[in-house]
Amino acid sequence: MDFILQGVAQAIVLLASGDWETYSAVFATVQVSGLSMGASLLIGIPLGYLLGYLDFPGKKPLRTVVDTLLSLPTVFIGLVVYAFLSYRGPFGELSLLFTLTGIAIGQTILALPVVISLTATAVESLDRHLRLTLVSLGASPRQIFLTSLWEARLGLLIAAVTATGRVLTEVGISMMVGGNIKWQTRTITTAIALETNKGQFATGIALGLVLLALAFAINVSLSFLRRRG
Amino acid sequence: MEPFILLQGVKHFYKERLALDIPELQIEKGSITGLAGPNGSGKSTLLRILALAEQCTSGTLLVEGTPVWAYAGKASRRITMLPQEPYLLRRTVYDNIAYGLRLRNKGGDLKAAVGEGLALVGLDPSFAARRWHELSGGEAQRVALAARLVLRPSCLLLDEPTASVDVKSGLLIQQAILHAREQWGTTLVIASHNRSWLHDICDHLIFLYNGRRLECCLDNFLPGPWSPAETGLWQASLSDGQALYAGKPSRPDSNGVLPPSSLRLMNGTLREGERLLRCTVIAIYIDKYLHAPSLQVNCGGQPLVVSSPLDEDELDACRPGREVNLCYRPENVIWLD
Repeated sequence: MDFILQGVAQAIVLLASGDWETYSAVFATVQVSGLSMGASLLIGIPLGYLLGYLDFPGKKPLRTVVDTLLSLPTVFIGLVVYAFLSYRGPFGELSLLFTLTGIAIGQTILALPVVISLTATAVESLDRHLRLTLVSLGASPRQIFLTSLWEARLGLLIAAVTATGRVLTEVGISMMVGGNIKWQTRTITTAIALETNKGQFATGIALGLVLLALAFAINVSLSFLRRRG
Repeated sequence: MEPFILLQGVKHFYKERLALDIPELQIEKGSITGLAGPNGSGKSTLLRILALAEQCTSGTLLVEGTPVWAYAGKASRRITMLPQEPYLLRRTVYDNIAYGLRLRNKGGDLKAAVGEGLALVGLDPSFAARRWHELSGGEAQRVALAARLVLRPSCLLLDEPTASVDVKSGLLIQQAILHAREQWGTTLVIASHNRSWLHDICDHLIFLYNGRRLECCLDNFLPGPWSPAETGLWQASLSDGQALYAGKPSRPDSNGVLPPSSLRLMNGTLREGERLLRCTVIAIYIDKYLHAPSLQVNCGGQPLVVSSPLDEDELDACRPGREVNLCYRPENVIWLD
């Protein structure tokens, strides 16, 4: 028990003293999750809206596929992205393997099903009279899209927060595609795994505390927006 | 004069089911048209097609002579609809009423326009700050109507506007829509189950049944089941032991109507082929379209309306509560399917 308490105490010292190695992993994590969340929200929200709003042949099987992808293992995504980005792969010339952009691509694939599925659910659960009301007030398809998203804003926030949680805490993609390169592609989760293996509990706990703080900040923001919404 | 809206050969299907079949329908500019009919008769479908919120499966819809399609920009901004259960956006009353104006990029004083909208439906300006969930059902309905009225639409379609509101709200809604017609010449189309309200407010009534327009009215609706009676006639039993007679229906559970003009008060004897019904007078009223007194009677639980001409002596004999004998011919029953 003592070594855990000592680890927590050392972790606080590390964070307070601005240990550059620790903060390098934090910055890499924020950067890569920002990129992947930006991309997955940009692509996932319109696709989720279409999936929830439109009725088309094959909608149910497609929905099942998207829902199945929610539990896609991160190591599998890591493996596939690695294969595509490696020098022998189809996108090898782009030299994205062992870069933050490479990790972001993998994490976007991880977050997309979450954003699409939860956005579709949020749009489906909108009142069925909303569309008729908007059309009868003269809204164009673009205005219906934007207003429907605004009406479903709480559902979209939940989608974004859930996806962010998944992206922030994954190890498989960051490890396989990023390679856990110090100062370059080492993220919070890969650093925790490495430092724990090395017996450096203090750094691991410090990074864990940062992860907790990030999750707490996101949830507080969500609660605040919920109250306002 | 060219009608404001003209429907030609309009058919609409939900999957395989025919929901609407209107060979032709004209709605004059500035008129008030009522849509009557039982549930599932196609009233709401017709309103959604007129509101350009649904594209009919086949047929043409012309607005002032120009063919239009659902979701068509310019025309859809001149026609607006108040659905039976209007949706209020999860915003303040102010934002709900201003929404349509903002879509149209109508500058000017939004605050004044919202205030005017609220006043039209009898709501205090302080309501503007309320959020959507802070309104009662009647208030929400009036806010939704205000959001349409501020657009000063050329045509306002209303689906059961007073069905789920109290008497006061119903009266305020009626005043507001009549104001729209008087001030801006708005064409009104109203679907309602409230026949007497439609009768009072509308210039024309259209009766729908199973998606088709009926030439007769639905006042004397005769529900099945029917069973074979003597000499090729069929009968439906009434609760007081009497029976209504009619020609052969297409199915035993067919529904029919007996036109109010085909019923007459019996004075003297029955004519050949006529049948007799013993009824109790419920009310006498002036028919707006006939400009003549009409009778509302109860015949063994079956409500009936009699609109054949009545002379002074007959009127005198028809005080509410009195029993009267009515004559009709079974072949005058019109089958609805």
